[in-house]
Amino acid sequence: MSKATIDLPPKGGFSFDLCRRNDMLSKKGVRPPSYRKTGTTIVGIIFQDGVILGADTRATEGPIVCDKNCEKIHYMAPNIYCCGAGTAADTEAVTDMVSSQLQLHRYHTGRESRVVTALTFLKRHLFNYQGHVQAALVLGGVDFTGPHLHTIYPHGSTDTLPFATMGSGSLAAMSVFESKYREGLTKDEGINLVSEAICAGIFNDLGSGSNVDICVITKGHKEYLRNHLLPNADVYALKREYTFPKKTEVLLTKITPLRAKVKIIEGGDAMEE
Amino acid sequence: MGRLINANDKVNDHQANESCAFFNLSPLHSGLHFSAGRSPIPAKLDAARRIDTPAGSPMSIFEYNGSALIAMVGKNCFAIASDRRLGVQLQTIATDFQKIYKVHDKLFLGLSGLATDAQTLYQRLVFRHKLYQLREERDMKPETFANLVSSILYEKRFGPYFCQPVIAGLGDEDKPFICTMDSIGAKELAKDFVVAGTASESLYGACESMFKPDMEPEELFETISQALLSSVDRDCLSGWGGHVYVVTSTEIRERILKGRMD
Repeated sequence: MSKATIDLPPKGGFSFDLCRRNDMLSKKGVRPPSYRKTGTTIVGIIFQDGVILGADTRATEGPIVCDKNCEKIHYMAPNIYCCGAGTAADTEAVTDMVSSQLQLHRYHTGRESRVVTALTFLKRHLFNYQGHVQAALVLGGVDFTGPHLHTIYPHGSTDTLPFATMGSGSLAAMSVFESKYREGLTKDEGINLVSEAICAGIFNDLGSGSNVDICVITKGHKEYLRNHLLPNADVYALKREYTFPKKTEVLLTKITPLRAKVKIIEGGDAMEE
Repeated sequence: MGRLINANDKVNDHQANESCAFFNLSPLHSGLHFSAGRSPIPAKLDAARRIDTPAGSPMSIFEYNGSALIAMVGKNCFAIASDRRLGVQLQTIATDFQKIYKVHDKLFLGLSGLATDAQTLYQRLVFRHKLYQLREERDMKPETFANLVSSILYEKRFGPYFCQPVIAGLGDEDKPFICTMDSIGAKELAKDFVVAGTASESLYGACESMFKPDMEPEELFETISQALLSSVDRDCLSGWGGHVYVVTSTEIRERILKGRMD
């Protein structure tokens, strides 16, 4: 058995074994595959008590919507959440990885995570891969220094802002913020503003759609409002059932009964004295 | 946290100048169309050895073998179905090719895309599952298995397996679980149905209209078969019958469907 086929648990990080083969294929004229993207509108604002993050819920694969209700607001720490735009696998993997690193960091330091810690982990990882890990993120949270909101670009640059938008619908959402944002918003005003901005993205940008997810983070408390607004409810579905006039023809049927796995609990004998 | 890498590093020395090409990439802005992370300089095409379609346009690697996969959720049961064709571009070379594999009694994995990568990936996953069984003395839960597949695919982020898996299983208390991913492991957890393969666009449409929540196993079988057959009939690269597994907590029913053989 050659070394390449021994699948020991990898030490972590990316593996490049198939690059040579994939390169050979692309030289032969084979198009590289397209990856699932989160076309997206993601936003964040700072309001009087903390941070509100918002996102739409559409995931696309080229022009096709492959997921009508995906989650784009990822958990990083009990007091920090992150919205992701770009290649879906990259945003999920990067946020999961940094979330684990933050957990380890909390164990090491014995303190609540700071938003700038998450920011630094993320920007270091993204810069390291020179933009090839295509994740554009809006990171928000409340730590003991106060509420923070940051944007992180795929190449690793960051901005610290009072209100932020990212994704293909960022311009639509930013227009709402630029006209209606002010400092010292209350929680309800903030949620309404964020919903309005995401809806602007949903209705005007083709890469964003479906529902609005909101996450409100304040000192010591968070509220994850999954599907807070459903402006695109499925009202046109057929009410009558689909009947199949011609049944499917079956050539062969094989039935395998599943035996219930019996748990054997050994009653131990008392120890001999 | 990982060393700086040059994802476009060519193995051949005479192409070393191309490895500098990625420094000239214009800054990729968020949300807008990204390239798939490859060098913008087109690779030299060796005309004598091109994998060319008769139309002459570049072929997608997923269309080399052709496949169609669906998984659907019913009432305390699930169904997973695939077509049976194996082809090399437009020539069919097998009409009984297995695309759905059983990982354990209550967990099935379907792999669409390039057949060689599908088989390699399946072998690696079975290996990891067997190690898991030895260590934990039990079968893997579908959610855990989905995470495993996602990690294995993401590990190859810059040189991926050309496969799209569909995972279907019964989790705790026999609650059905289905999931699909793109070729780099972005999970899509759906509550109703998931599709993959060259016929995916037709499959989305067929499932969207035919699916109902909480179907019994017999009705679920009929629905998934009709959705599969009607979609593959509109796709040249998949078809030649169907293979459907309907799994409940007490039995697995495997059925081979009769379809158009063209």
